[in-house]
Order: sequence, then C-alpha cells, then structure tokens
Amino acid sequence: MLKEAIAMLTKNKGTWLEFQSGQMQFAGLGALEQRALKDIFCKSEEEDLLRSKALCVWD
Amino acid sequence: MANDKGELALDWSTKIAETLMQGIEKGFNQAQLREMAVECASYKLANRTLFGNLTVLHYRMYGGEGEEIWEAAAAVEALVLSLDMIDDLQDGDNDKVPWSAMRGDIALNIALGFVFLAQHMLLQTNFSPERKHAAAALLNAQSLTTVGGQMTDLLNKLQTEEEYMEMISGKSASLLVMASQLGTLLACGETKIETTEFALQLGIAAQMKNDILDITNHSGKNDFWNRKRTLPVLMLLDYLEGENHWASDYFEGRLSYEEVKDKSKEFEEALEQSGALAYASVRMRIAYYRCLEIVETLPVETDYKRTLDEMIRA
Repeated sequence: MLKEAIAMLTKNKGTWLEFQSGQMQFAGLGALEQRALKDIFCKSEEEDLLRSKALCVWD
Repeated sequence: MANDKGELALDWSTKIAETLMQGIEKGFNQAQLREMAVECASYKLANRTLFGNLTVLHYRMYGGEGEEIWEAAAAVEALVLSLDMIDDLQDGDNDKVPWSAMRGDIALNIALGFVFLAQHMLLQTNFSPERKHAAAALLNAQSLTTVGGQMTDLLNKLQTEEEYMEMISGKSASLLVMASQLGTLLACGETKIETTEFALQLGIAAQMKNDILDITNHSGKNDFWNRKRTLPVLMLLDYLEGENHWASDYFEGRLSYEEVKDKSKEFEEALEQSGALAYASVRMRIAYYRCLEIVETLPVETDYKRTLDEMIRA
C-alpha cells in the first residue's frame, strides 16, 4: 500500500495538493505513514529531521 | 524523583569523554598505542556521545544512582568507536577520520585495543560481580549481532527489503539497543523490551538516513556507483527490472564505470522517477516517528521521557 501511494504521488504531482489538503487520503495507511508521506511530498517537517544529530551517528 | 531534574537537562558527553580518556591512559600501556588511541578518541568525542548518553539516561531512568555508570558509558563509547574504525577500514571510503590517515595494520590494532578496552573498563567498575557479568554478556551478545549484520553488509548480496531491514537491525540498530539495555541492566538487573524497541527504530532510521545520503552524494561516496545494495538502490533496481536499462547492466557488472561515468544526470532522473528515494525517505521517517511514539509511552517519569525525546531530536 505504501509503495502504491508513493508511486501515485511520484507519477502525478497534481495529487500532492489534494493529499496535502486532505481531499485525498490513502486508506489502509496508518497515521505515521500518512505523516511521513506528507513530510516528503508536502515538505512539512523534512528540515527538522535532517538536523537531528541522533540520525547522523553513522554519517 | 530518583534524580534531580537539573541533571536530566545536561548533556553527559563531557563527563563520558573524560572517563574514556582516563580509561585509555590506564588501559593502553604502549606509548604509541596510547597516543594514537587518544587521537582517534579525540576525533570521535568531539561530537556528542549519543551511545554513552543513552546508557547513563537508562541507568538513571530505571533507578540507578551510582557514579560507576560513567565507566560503563565510556566502555560503550569505546566499543562503538572500535566498530566505527573497523567499518571505515573495511569500506575504505572515509578520508575525514584520523584512522584513515594511519597505516592500516596500526589502525586495525588500535581498533582491536578499543574492543578489549570496552570489556576491561566495564569489568573494572564497582558494580556487583553478578551485574558486571550480565553486562559483559550483553555487550558481547549485541556485538556479535553487529558483526553478523556487518558480514551481511560486506557480502553485499541483499535482494529484498526484508533482508535489508534484517541487516540494518543487526548491523546498526543493535548498538543503540545495547547502549540502552546496558544502562537498564546495570540499574535494575534486567533489560526492558520497551527500551529495545525504541532504540531499534532509532537505529533503523539513522541507518536509512545514512543510506539516503549515500545515494544522493555526488562526490565519490555513492552507493549506486560503488554497487552497494542498500534500500534506495534495491528499490531503484526493482523499478528498472525488465527495462534493459544501463543502470541495471552497470550494477550487475555488465558495464564498467568507464562506460557509464557520464550518465550521472540520467541516473538522477531514474532515481527521481523510480520513487526509490521517496520510498526510503518515507520508511526512514516512519521508523523515526515510531521511535518517538514509543518514547512517549515508556513507563517512566515524564522528565526522563522528555530528556530522551530531546536527546533523539537534538
């Protein structure tokens, strides 16, 4: 389901706004998955995550 | 409160670093070994000691109050440093670190020294013999898991996402699990499943982020050009399967680097179109958010949860 959602969002950028506004949802995906998708396709929290040093322990 | 709230807000890296340096002075008798080990540790300890901090925090979280935890936290950092060094020596792709500038045989010997220094420091602490024995057993068991994961990574034969997840759980996440469990064990004599799970998710997220950066890096260290099988690379290859694409031919060794080195633009386009990077990024965030969610539900005092949350987000 996650792969299908990403394939849809990757192929059709027109769906980003619908997804961001909540008009389109991916039934079957949990809250964490939806949130992560919004991070990537709506750029909601991406920068915060990239600054976390805890995620850089093997950089 | 078992501990004062002011202490929770501290970053314990300075104290852990000092303790590790003392351990090196006492443990390494040979002068050049000691000198070069200090150089390696100084480089490593210039950054926050996340692993040691997790050990101290879990010790406090589960009721530990003694000062002997500093040696245990420093031992954890010594072990992580040794494995970092060995990983860099195996990959040969990190020129930033001081051990890459040393002779390979010397650097390997120093790394080996850190493995035993970790055990030595842990066994020299003032914890009870039973607890020290259990802690040493835990350190060894988790290290063996890490070595197993590293072996899978070195063999570079991953075919599926499931195999990748199993590999990074062993190779990377097991060290964060070890750091957290060690503090818990030394405090209360047993490990807790909830701390295992949050550390596992954090380790998965961190390794995925590393792999995402390593496929978007255009200055040498790039997993695709190095034919290294990570999640974004596997997803890309999966997308290209059956398309007779040059990228598949290169990755399988049917084309040389010389034959494809001018195709970096095409590679970037394929990566974008495949959704491989997006997929890995989403999976990384799911693991990270799951980690924070587990921290929120830990059955410990709120101040400790807040500190752990800050430690992860900072």
